[in-house]
Amino acid sequence: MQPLPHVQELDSILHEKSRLAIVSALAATDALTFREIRDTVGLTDGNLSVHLRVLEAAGYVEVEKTFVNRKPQTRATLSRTGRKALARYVDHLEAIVKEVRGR
Amino acid sequence: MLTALRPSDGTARSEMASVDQQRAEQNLELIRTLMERSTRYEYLSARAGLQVGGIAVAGAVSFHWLSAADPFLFGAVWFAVFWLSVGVMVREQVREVRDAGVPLWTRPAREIVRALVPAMTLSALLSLHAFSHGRHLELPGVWMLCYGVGALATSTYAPAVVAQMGVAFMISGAVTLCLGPAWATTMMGVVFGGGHLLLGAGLLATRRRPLRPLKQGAI
Repeated sequence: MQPLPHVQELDSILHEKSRLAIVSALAATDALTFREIRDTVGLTDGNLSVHLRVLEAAGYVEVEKTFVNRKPQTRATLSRTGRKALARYVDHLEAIVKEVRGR
Repeated sequence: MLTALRPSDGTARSEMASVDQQRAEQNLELIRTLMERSTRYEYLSARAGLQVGGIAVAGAVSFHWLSAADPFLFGAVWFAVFWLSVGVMVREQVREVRDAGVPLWTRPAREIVRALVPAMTLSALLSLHAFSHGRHLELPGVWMLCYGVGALATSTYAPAVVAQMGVAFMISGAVTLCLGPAWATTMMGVVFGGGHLLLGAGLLATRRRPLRPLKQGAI
């Protein structure tokens, strides 16, 4: 039995809920600090670091490390690639919902 | 086992489709929730609320000795209250975001300021009109209505309590206009003073409370 065609097309990086949550949070803003993402998404520091690295490696997220008031601060922004990937992912999800409802 | 799960290909495929649809809907909901959540300005200062409330109460109490009927005194007191409140708010917000280690001029912060501008401008224009026509004692109700509209306009970006405050201010504004000029300064103390004191106390009670968890299994 073959899965629905749209499921196969889903972006495997975004089809993981923690990463999807991070990208969604970033999609609505210019940039978020590590702390803001952690509080918004509700991940532990360790988990968030791991997922941010995966997203950065995929080119979906750009991470910048700076110092604010002498304290290190990590800021993440959604790259153009990441934004396109999220839009594509949402299109696929909507297509799945439509397809199943249409049966 | 596999054969037991396969009474017919049609049934299994339809069950799988239903699981896919469920997952797709959950993920769409997750995207929506996270996008909304990340645009919310979460750093309202409780200290600012309490101080602004105190300043407004002090302004209202000053009319125990001053004549509210005198447009110059009335204008001077509330002008001072307004700018003092703005100063306190800015100082406390800066402190709040610095403590949280986040930037001050974020997109939600900018959007909140932008949402407030029309109501504040309208309020300033109506104030000029009222003062020039000797109807300044009607201004407290107008200010409350404008402030309420401004608070409601920020509701996309501000915490829910601000929208609730907006509604309360609009109702209070209507009541103040109905009560008439005799109640102008008392209502300013009760509504602007009491309202901000309540907001500050509410923020103090809920501060640092973790965000409501996402629906179970969302992440």
